[in-house]
Amino acid sequence: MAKAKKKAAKAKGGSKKPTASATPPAQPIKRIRTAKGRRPYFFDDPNIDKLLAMIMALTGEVSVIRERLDTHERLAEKKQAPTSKNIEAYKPSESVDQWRVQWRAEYIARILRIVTDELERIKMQEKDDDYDKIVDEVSK
Amino acid sequence: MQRGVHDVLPTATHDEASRESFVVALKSHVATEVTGGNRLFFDTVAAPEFKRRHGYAPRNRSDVRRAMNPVPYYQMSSSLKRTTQELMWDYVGSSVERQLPALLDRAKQVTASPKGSLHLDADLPLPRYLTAVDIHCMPGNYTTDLVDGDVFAGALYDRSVYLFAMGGLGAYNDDVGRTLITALKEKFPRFHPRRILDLGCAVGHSTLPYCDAFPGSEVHAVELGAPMLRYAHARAEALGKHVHFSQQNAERTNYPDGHFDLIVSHILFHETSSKAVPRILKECHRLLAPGGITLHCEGPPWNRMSPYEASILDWDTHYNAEPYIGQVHDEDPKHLMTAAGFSPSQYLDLSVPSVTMSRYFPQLFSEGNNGIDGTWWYFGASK
Repeated sequence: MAKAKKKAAKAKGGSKKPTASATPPAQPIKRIRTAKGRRPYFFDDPNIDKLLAMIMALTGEVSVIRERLDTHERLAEKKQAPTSKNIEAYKPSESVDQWRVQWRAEYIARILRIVTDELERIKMQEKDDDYDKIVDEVSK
Repeated sequence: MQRGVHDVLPTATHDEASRESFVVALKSHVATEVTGGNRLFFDTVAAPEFKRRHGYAPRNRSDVRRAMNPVPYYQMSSSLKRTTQELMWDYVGSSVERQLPALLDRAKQVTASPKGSLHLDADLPLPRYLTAVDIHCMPGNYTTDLVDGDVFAGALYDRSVYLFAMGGLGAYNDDVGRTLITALKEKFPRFHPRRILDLGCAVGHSTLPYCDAFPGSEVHAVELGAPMLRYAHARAEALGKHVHFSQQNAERTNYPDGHFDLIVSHILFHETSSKAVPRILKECHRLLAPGGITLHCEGPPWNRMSPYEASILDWDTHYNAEPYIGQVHDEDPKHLMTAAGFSPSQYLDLSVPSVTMSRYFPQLFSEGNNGIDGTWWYFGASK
């Protein structure tokens, strides 16, 4: 394991992170992260909006991990080691890109299934008490 | 569609690119599968409930919003929309932040011997509509300098606009300008402006097409945000287009009377104010030479759509930090032009199919995506 790690570090060109500039400033430049203007909350409890924001951020990170794993597999198919350098250098072909677009769409639809489920029920013109009626009916 | 690259466009690592792709997929899903469903809830639940409570059906965009606010489906779709917007800025912002020193170097390099120019005015007073809120939730807005000679806002905007439009504005995000040019050439085939001015040019997405469309014309552009202009200048030079960028307020510029033959703006007005728009149009009248043309792209007036359709665009007034986008669509464009000094007989009003959107993404730009339907609307006048 240690040997493999060492090898991977070597392939990356050592453990040093690449610098963004030949002459980086002493202090990293920090962006502004919060936009001025009201943050609207839509649910009766704002914490639900916050939880939704967390879940979607997490959904994004899982998508990134899944794509990275896919890159590992694509590299393996070409008998290349999944080093950081190889991962960064990997350029997906158009068909791989299309597969990923499709995968992401299906993945997001899975996560948000319950949202569109509500819509489908309205389209089906199904009322909540329809179900109670059938419970009564089959129990008679 | 493949994104158009240039020397100052921020790059993305494997994971950064993956985050960007995710946010586009999420935005696309919300636009096509989720927000469109609000109409059904409006018709079947919200509108009847509103009528029961108030004794009349929703009459305008505010009524529609009041009717929809308590609907759980609307709350969910709105919360998803807002979160998607925030994720986009956060993803691109973190990527640009990581590589900012390199971007600053590249901007310096590509502008070392420029063919166009950049004029900045550090003492220019900024209007309240740009200082009070960060437009469409873009942290820091167009105006914040994080460091001397900063380009952060421009880089953030350039990369994000492509994601926001899901590529629908073309490889170089220049669809609004290109569509205007197409309409202009069709309507005025012999018109060839000597000098062109683009107002509120941002990073020059829609400015650059004028360089190719009218060879030999001088292209000028004004904008309030210094980091946007520095980036715009670098981007134009990197793409080999010669534009004269200047940090000025479109309400009152320092160009002489009658200096331009063509004055344009591209989705600018909704980011200003009801006091600024008449001033900008008066300034267009002052700056325009006889025989000149001015055209401005905005969303079409509300009175051309139903209260429900208007409420889709009005969402951004309340929930996406675009405080004037609601009111601007209530203005009477012909009245605005005549009040600015243009003759009513010279008024121009054009709905033009987008040159890229309608071709590539017709299904996305329906109701689900802020009411953008693949058509741009321009108003203006000739002088």
